[in-house]
Amino acid sequence: MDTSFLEFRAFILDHLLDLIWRQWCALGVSGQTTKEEHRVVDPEALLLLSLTICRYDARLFDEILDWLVANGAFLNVQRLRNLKKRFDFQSQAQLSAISELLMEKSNDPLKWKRLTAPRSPRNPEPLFFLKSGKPIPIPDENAPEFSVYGLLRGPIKLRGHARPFSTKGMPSLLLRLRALLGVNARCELLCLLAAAEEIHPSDVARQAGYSSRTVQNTLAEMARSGIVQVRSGNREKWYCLQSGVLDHLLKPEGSPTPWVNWAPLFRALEMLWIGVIDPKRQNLDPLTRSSELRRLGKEMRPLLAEAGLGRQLEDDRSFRGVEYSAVFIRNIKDILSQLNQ
Amino acid sequence: MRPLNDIKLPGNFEEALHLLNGRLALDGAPRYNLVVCGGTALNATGLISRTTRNVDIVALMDDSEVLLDPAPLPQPLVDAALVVAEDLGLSKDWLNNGPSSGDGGLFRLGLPGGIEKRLVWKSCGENLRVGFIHRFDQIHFKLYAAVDQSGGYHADDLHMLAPTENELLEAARWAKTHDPSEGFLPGLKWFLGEFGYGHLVPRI
Repeated sequence: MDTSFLEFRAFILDHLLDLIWRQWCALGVSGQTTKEEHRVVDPEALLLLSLTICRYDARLFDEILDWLVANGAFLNVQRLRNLKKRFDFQSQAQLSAISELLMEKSNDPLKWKRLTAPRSPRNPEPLFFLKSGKPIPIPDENAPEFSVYGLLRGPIKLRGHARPFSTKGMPSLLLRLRALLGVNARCELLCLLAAAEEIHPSDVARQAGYSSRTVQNTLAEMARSGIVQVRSGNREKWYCLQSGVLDHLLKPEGSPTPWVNWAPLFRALEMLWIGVIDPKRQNLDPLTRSSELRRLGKEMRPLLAEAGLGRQLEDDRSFRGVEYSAVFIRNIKDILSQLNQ
Repeated sequence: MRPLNDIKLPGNFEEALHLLNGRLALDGAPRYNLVVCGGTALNATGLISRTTRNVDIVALMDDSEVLLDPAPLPQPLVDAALVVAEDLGLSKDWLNNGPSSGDGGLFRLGLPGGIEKRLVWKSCGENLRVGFIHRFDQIHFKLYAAVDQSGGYHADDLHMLAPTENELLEAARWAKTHDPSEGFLPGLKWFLGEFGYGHLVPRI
């Protein structure tokens, strides 16, 4: 196989795992990272990406399971379902398997049952792979929670090292708000209100992972508090936070809350990873590979645009034939490097 | 059938057909054998070197060497060709079945007998082979097109092919049966006269 393409794959995986480790550690997963996360972490979007990428890092996968046992009560299952469906994340089997596990381990088995999919008789495959792409050997004894969804791995041994999420700092803001206000749309809406001067319900619905009706109704209710203010114009309503009231919680450093629209960005990155490891895309000649990277770029571009990174992937129409490979690889490296800064 | 894998295609059609093969393989499409006429075939077989915009498919062929109607073109081929057009900045109809596109097209009206035996093949990979028509068949098509369009670049191409009298006679006889309309035969006689072969008219 082309060594430069193998290097590109390795670069993607290393940077994705760095980002995922960093975000989970900021929420209380046991581990050390070289850089700290300063942005608000979206735990549902992060979990959906992690379940695909962490198949290449078994240790992180199990640290996340450990964290979910300790902190899973603060995950929003409905939002997980919404984001998975809306962006078509590819981790349903893993999601079902961890839900089986959490049904056993948590105090609210019914909550996790909602995430399981019907058990399908798909061909069993290993859950974990080495970074090189080779499957990790499967022991004789399998974890039943995973094997019923066609994923083979050894028995789960949780270490119990995960900490409760921090009561300070931006990464855990959404979880802290859920601890304060309950697991509901108000938490994402407060983050979004604090991240912008004013917000429009339909924009927010896309970013928050709720239906427009839920967002509209919730914002209207929140406006009754006087802390959320509403401005009407041209038949539209715009919402903002009353200055100063919640700043200590939402904007402790005075600047807007560092909210990133992670869900479309993470789906684009999942698409990228699945795209570059696709067996049919290995061993292609340079021209056909460039054509495939162009297809991949076309699929990713609208998602990156939704996350505010649309311009980072240059317009492929300006580059003919094999020229585009180098452009795509450069653009992706820039995006991943930027995310890991 | 003669293989000829060192032929060079005009413009970026070499690259386009190579990528078309790659796209067909990725899409899990079957293998296609394209029978190509027109400027691309003239260039590929070294008969005439001139610019051309399209790859004109006159027929398809199955693996047992039976010619097939290229209208409509198979959808996987159309889809893959559109991707190639986008990737390489070619026009959307760079690969087309124009010469045989319908009831009035060459395939349905009848191709010169034995055309399939004279094809010169180029393999573009596992999923695509291109058979270029022979000079003899080019003379047939060019004569027909020149008469149909009262000269034009087809007449120039025919001139450069420098057909022998026998080749021209055979082409004229085929063209006459190919298009039995009232106006075609007088047009054919007029063209042969203009082309300097008026003495052949009584023999067609």
